[in-house]
Amino acid sequence: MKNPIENLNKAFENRIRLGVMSVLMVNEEMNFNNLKELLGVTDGNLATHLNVLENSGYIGVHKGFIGRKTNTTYSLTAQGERAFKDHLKALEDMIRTVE
Amino acid sequence: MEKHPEEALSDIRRMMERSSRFHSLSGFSMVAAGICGLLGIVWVKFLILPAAGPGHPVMPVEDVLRDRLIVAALSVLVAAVGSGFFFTRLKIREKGLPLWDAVFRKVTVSFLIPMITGGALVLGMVFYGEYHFIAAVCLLFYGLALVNAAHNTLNEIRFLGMFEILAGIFCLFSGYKLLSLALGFGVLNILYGLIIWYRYKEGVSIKK
Repeated sequence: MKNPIENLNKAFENRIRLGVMSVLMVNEEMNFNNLKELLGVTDGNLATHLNVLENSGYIGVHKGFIGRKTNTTYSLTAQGERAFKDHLKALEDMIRTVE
Repeated sequence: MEKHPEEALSDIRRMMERSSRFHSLSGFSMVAAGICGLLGIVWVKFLILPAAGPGHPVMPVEDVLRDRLIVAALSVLVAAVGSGFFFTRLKIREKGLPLWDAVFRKVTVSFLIPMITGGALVLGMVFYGEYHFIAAVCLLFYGLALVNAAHNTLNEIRFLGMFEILAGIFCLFSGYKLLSLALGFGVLNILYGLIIWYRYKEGVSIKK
């Protein structure tokens, strides 16, 4: 039987990246500050992980303004959604094989 | 993390829930709001209505009564919202969460849109002297606000909202205004407050 660990996505191994993906699965979009609040991480830390996800093509970035302040929002791409669902499935398979 | 898929899944579920639903609603908030509602009804029934008899030297009796009822209604609203906010804030602080986070904003906005719409309608009715349906409209729009807000908070709120709408319909057709208001704003809020307090006293349970 194939080892289900092979199907786990390395990009989602990190807790923060996993958190970002989870939040964006249920929220169409979310801005930087709200993500930061929800995940309880620092600016720099979050920005690094968002970059990784963006470069993998899993999330899209939209730069906008609220008044004069920049408001950057993030949302899942179709590819990101697929990748995340596959990752979830791999996790579930792992649990099943353990059982 | 690869060794703990259960942990990863529960992390995912927690983040999904936390980012889309407001879980810190305190049952005490609703009990307090319900008590404010009941006190308001007592105030109206035993102090304002009996005193409305002889009329005022300058204003006709209807105007005096109307003004007193408006004062009573606004006082109840402020007291209910204030005490409700107080207990929910306590609960948020107890959990160590940010006081005004994205989900709290979301649930507040989804609650306020029907509430403000209903409030405008009530103001319009007062303005045009159409007092007959005010009690029913208050209950109906409160119910709609709860059903709407339930998308972003505890599921129980949806049922509370539906019962409030039923109370509004009962009020509309029965004409028992004070009784309907006491049931809707008093009894139902207290009952659901107790249910929510009982179900969630152990903390957030994320079962579904």
